Amino acid sequence: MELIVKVGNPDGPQTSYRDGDIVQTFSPDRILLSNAEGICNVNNFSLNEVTGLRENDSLLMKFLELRNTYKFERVNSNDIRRTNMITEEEDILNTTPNDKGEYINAYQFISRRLKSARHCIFGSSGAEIWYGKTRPSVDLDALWNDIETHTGQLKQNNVSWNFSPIEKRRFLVMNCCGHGHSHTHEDAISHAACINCSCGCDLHELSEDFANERIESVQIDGDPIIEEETGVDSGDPTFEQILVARRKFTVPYWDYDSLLSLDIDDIRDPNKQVDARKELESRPTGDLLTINKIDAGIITL
Amino acid sequence: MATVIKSIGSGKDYSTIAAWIVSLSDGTYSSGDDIIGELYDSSYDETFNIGDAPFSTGALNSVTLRANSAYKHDGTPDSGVKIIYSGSVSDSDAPYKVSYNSSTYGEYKVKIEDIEFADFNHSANVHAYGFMLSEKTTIMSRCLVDNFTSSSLSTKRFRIFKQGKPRIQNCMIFNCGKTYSAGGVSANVQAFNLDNSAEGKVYNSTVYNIFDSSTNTVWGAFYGEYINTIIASAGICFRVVSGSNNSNNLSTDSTAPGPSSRTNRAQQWLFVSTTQGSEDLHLKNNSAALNGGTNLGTAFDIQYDIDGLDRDATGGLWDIGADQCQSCRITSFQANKRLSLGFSVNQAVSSFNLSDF
Repeated sequence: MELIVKVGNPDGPQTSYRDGDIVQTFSPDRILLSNAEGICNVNNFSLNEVTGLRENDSLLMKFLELRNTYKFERVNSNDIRRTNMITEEEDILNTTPNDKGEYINAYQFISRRLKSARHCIFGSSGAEIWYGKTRPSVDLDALWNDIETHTGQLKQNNVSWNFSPIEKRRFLVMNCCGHGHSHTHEDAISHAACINCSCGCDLHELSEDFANERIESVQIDGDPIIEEETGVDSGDPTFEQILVARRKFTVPYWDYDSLLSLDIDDIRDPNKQVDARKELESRPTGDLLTINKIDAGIITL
Repeated sequence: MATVIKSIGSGKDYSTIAAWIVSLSDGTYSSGDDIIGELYDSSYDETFNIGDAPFSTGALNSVTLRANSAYKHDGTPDSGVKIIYSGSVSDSDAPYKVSYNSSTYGEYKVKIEDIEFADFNHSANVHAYGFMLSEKTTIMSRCLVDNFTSSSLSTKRFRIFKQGKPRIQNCMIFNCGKTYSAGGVSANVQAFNLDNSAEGKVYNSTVYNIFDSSTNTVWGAFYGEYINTIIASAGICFRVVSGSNNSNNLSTDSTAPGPSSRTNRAQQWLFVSTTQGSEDLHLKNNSAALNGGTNLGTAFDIQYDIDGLDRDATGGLWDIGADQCQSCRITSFQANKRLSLGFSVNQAVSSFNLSDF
């Protein structure tokens, strides 16, 4: 997991970003998907100069097949075949609503799409193909296999987030991983070993859930929200949410200067770029690097 | 006092919206600046909350988050910059919030333009909302909001827009609702649940398919002022509105409020496509929404439709909804005239088909 940490504002209110607050996190899957989206951006692919459509069997087409649920194929002037690429179910849609009320005017739909130079309509005139409805999850292995087949890009070279120079100057860019602990952290020595990764633990990537929790804010219930005006009483009241802290987790990077070989002056100098990301074999454990402010007593509820 | 545009995306000034928001109050900009963050990437998996800091600490005049014009959507899903959120929110919360104090720092300091918000599919068993745009903080223009769902249990509420007095204009909101299907409470799904004030304004917007899989009643609009707005297939489309200036709306039931509103219009005659995966809520030929709107002037750039088309430049009457259709035919007279010229109606061989008319 990579993360970007706020630098500066050590004395600001907890309701704003404070020094050490985790601004954003990036799970390995998110990084791979984002980098794949950049490579497969429609702007990187040309249109067929004769038809004005996209070429079949291109990397863009393969990307959209893996990214979407439905494939649409125009079968005549009025009818569209929709294939659910997950279940392989097919149906035909046209201007007459189906039993779900779905309809499509193929001519108007395609005509309007083709007005954009960024359209993703493939095939040939009268037999157009396109894709729709983003899949809930993407087969990243298959996606990167296609990318490696069609381009010189390698998956192993796209496992890092593309932070900007501004971000490297004004924030602290770091990474961490999971440590399969064979020891406790009750003593300072073992704690330090898992920060500077001299611990000998089994290392693994951190989950999407772990990453998402690190960017949560802290809120408490305020007054109940009276929705009696709506006339709806579900028996399950809602409460006004009062922000206590912009971020629940912090990274006290200033305490890790020696363990992580961080130059705190450089980090706090907005004219110097600092990138504290390390190779997997030397990344600190996310469990210890990121501090829950509530558990640590930094904020009280 | 300058207008400062920063790019957001891979290889841009900031790689994430979150980092850009932090920059709004860290001394990067000067007091009184108008800051614009432009998005370029296909998708951003993020939440945001624009609070007091940009206007208190940062002393900024305004903050705009928008898609770069070359990367904006074409009015349909997945055609431009998209903000999604794959995580979850806590109870009674939303992924997208504007919460600064507009009484202290001024009204409508935040603008959100030309962005698709999609695929917030929430599974935690809590009350969940899509947007919380408090008080008079936000003008949201030409955005798509689609595929926001909650699978929370029967008593949990789900609102696409919760609270506040925002201005929502030329936006399309569709395919949003609760997916829990085993019982529940009617009206626990609402598209707009705004403050009871005519200062919350939903103008020239299109709302379609707000659902509750438990078959309980849903509401499209609850409070706020609505003009030139379509709400279709949303249970009770306009449940209650605020103030006395509502007009020129359209509903698929009998509830569109105000003078010159059109009621009980069948949804299959309104849009180009409602097919899942190929949704296109632009108006189609002979749509009941054509020419049914009232001219709302140019305040807050209301005249630009979902595609950025200046409605006034078309020289015609305003349409109802987010789309101003330039090419739509309105009367059956034209269809009859073209057919009489001898076009084949054999759909297999003709490049036209009857539905084009």
